[in-house]
Amino acid sequence: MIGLMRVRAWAAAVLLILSTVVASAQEPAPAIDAPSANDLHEFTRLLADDRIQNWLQEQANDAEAAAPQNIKSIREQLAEATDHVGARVADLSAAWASFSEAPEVIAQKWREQLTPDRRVRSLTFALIFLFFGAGLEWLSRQYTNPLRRRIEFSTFKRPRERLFAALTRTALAFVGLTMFAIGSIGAFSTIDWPPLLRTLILAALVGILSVRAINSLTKLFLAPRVPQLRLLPVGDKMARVTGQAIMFFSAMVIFAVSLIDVFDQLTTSDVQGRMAPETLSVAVLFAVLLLVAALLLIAICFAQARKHSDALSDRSMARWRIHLSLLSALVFVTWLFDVRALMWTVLSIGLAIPILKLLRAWTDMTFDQVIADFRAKAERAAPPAEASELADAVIEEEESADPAPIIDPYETYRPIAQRLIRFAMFIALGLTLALIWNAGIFENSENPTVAQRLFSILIDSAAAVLIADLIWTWGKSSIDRRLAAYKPPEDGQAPGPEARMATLLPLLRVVLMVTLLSMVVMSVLSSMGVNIAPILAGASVMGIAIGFGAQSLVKDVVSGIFFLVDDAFRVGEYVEIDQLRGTVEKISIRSLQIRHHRGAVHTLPFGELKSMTNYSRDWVIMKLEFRVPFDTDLQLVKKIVKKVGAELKANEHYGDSILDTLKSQGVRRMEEFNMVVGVKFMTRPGEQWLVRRDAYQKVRDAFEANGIRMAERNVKVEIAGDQPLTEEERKAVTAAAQDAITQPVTPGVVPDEP
Amino acid sequence: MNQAKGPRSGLIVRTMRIWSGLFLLIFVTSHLLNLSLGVFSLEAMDAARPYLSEIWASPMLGPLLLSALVIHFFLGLWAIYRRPTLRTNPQDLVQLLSGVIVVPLLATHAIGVASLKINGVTFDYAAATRFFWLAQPQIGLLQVVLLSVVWVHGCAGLFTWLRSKESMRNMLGWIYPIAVAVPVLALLGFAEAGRGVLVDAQAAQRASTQAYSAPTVTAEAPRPAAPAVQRVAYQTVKTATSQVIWWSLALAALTFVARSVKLALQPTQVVLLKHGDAQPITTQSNLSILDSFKQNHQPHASLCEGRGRCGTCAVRIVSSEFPLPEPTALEMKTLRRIGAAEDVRLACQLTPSGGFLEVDPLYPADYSFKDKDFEKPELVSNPAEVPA
Repeated sequence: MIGLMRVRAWAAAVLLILSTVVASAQEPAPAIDAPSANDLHEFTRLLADDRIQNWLQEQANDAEAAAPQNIKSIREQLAEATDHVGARVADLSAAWASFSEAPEVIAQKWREQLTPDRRVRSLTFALIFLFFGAGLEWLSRQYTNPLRRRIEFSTFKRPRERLFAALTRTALAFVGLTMFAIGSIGAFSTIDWPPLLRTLILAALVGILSVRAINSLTKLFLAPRVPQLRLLPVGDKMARVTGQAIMFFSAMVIFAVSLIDVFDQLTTSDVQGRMAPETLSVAVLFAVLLLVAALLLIAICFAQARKHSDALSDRSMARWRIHLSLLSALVFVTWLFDVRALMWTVLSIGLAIPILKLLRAWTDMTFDQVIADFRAKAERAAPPAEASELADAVIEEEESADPAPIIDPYETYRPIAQRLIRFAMFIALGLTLALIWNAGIFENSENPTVAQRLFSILIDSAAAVLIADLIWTWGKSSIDRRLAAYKPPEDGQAPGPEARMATLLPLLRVVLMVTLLSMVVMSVLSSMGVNIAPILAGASVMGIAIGFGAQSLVKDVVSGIFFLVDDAFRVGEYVEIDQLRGTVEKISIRSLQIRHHRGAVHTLPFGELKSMTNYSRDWVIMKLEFRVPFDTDLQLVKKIVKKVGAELKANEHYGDSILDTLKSQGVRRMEEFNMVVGVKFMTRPGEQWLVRRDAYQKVRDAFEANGIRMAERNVKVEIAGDQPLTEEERKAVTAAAQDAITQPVTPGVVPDEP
Repeated sequence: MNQAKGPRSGLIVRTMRIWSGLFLLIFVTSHLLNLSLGVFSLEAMDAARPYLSEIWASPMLGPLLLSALVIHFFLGLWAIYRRPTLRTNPQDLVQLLSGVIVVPLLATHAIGVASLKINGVTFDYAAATRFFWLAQPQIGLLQVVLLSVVWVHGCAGLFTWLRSKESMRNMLGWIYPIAVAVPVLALLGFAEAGRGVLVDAQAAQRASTQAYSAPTVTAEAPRPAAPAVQRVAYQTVKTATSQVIWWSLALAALTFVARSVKLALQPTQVVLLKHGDAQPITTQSNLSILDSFKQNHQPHASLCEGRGRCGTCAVRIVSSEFPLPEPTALEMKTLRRIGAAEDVRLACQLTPSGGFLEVDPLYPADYSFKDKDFEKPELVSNPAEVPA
């Protein structure tokens, strides 16, 4: 059976496709022939006709005249608005006059349109649809309930989880609502209805649906029953009262609007779509009721807030109360005079302010929670090492916890998050206002109206300012964070690599601010229609002039930035630049000051630096030489050097700085009269001199103790024969030897050292 | 295990309530299935009528049905009378109120049909549809309300019963769609049949105005009444109906009044109740522990909504200032079934007499029997006792 149906469906689909194909193929089928000679003659005759020519001329003139009429001057627009309000006032007075008859008129129309039987039957149908919707929703709820209950009953520590849970809960509610809508409105739309019944039943269904949707949204933010899923920082009682107030008011509004809609359809007779006075009078009555209800609910809510919550001071609470009450009154007045655009503007701006505040409070709360959570976690992670120790250890820990507070990574993101939310809020508000005023900012019209121009300027400037603000906040907070993390080195200690950031970042901050400021000013000016090309040109001419004049200065600064980025030197390091040596004492943005170990201070602009040698990086190898006679026991030397190396390493002052302790490298070379034994060691920069001093001393002492003599320069005079020398001969030999000794010996290069 | 036997009345009442309710629900289902045939045609409805609807009016089933209805109604009133609080969960409240208004709603339909049957008038679906949609649309509307209320009440009872049955945990997912499909189809059948009747009536009206250009004749369906021999007068039926309606409403009102009088007269003590790690709550001594939790929005597991059936509301008594009342037979039965230890009681059945009481929940608040497939909670101190 099903198979047969499927085949039929397929066949129908194929037929449908075929028919459309055939239809579309048939359309171009009759080929268009070229106009016949007769037609052309006729056409030329017509063109030559004066009447036709006149008509064409008029059409063209009309089109010309019609174009500028679309743009109304402000005066005309104002006049139009005044007329509109005047008409509304007349309508209102008519409504006032017909107020007493209104119920009768509406009831009569109602009776005309619907017989009692029909009314009851439509109610039956509406009830059936509601049952369908409710049944479907109940069904979907049975499957989603376990998840919902799990969400409601479990505890969420982290704000992200909490937000996710709250959103899931609302999504589940909306799934149910969607099922309800599908069931009720779907069943409703399968039947053709007379127009009035259609409006009536649809208004009822949509009304129920929207009240429930608003309820679900309220629950998302307030969650009166489940405090841990509440997004807004309010207490249990407050959440319940506010939720009920919002719910009640929205239900009233929706009920009133749908009822007026139905009445309007009942009573409207004229084509212009203006409300009949009777309906208008009922609508005004409803509006007054709504205003009273709004004021009452605001009063109740704030009375409850005063009783149950102490988040706000009395003064600010009173201010908010006045704000909301005034807003309701303003909305009512603007509605009364039918200035719809103004009404929506007032409403959206008036609601945006408290929403902004609430969002701000919410971000603050979220960040506070995250930070508290992080703190707790960090504190839990820190103590275990000392946890087992005794009470005094705990006291110690407390003491140590105070000077070094745990720095959480979130605090700096707080302003960014707040700016982002504000940014999104402003954009949403701007778009809403644009839609309200029907400014058509999305259309690229040739002749924009005043409102369009105003909106485009406002939106452009606001966007520029907001984006610049966002970037500035982000940049400033991250720079400040880096700067705050930087600790200036204590006296006598070499600064770490972050020291150069302390030089660079303030500069970067200033550059960022100037750039953003100039960009914002430019874009605001350009959106206002000011031609910024001359400003740009002037700025660039100035830039070039200054650039030429301060060429070397610019060169210094720029190359300085790159030296700093390269991390070529830091304060306190011993460097050599060309012929100058010394310790880096000060780094400014243009120049570098180094102090020679004998006290002289050299100042070097960065632009002058070609290359530099840094003696203070990571490690230093020092090589020493000892001259020993040829008959020295090299094994013994090696042993002694090893022992001395161990002693040096064990030294309490500099032992830690020795990376590779003293060791013998064996005989490095042979000289005329002695062997050269090489030793070397590796230390941290700056420590090598001290180690060398001790190494020399210890090795010499050890050699002496072990009977190893240092080689001395001596002259051996070999005399043939073995007769004793005469005094004369001895003198001659001494003189000859003296020559050899006094031969100028160039000493090795003595390194220039501090 | 404590062998003390409390009063058995609670157990008997509960059993009678569920079985009479189930019997009534089966009848309603069969009747609705008959109605749902209206999706196809009136003839289909009438063809199935002897098997799905009339069988319930047979000499054996008819009295049984009537007595089940009466018993169920009175047991419901008794339950209302016994309730210490009406503020529990929404489903319970819906079940209670729908139970109260079923009888008044049903009276017109049931007595009307019965009287027609006694009078020997055939009241088939064709006649019924015309009556409900053309002649008396307000009674038709009443039928839709009745159907919704009866079905909601029946389902509320059925599903709280099923949910408390551990063996049903995998079946429930299949029963839910049926529970929606039956009334929806029935309403569809009702609406479809009604639409057919309305279209026919309109066509007839148009034909009559065209043919005779007569003044507007309301499309009045032939009244199913007016038989040749009236054994029961129309007036009698009307009186009986209104009497049933008023008496049932009066009984319900009386129950509520009696309940509030009883509550007002009952001396109550203040109970300080501590639940697990939560803050202690202050309640009255006439509330069961479960009701106290619900009133204070303290989440607590209970699958059968406090009927002492499922055992998921079980709590371990940590400390109690005064001795607690002995468990009734109903509570004992469930406790024995779940194999609970000495210090475990059912929160829905335990009504402390006052003072401070600290309890520990055995199940998480969002527990359902489905969870057993994933993890077994540490229910009892001696798990060897758990029967299959």
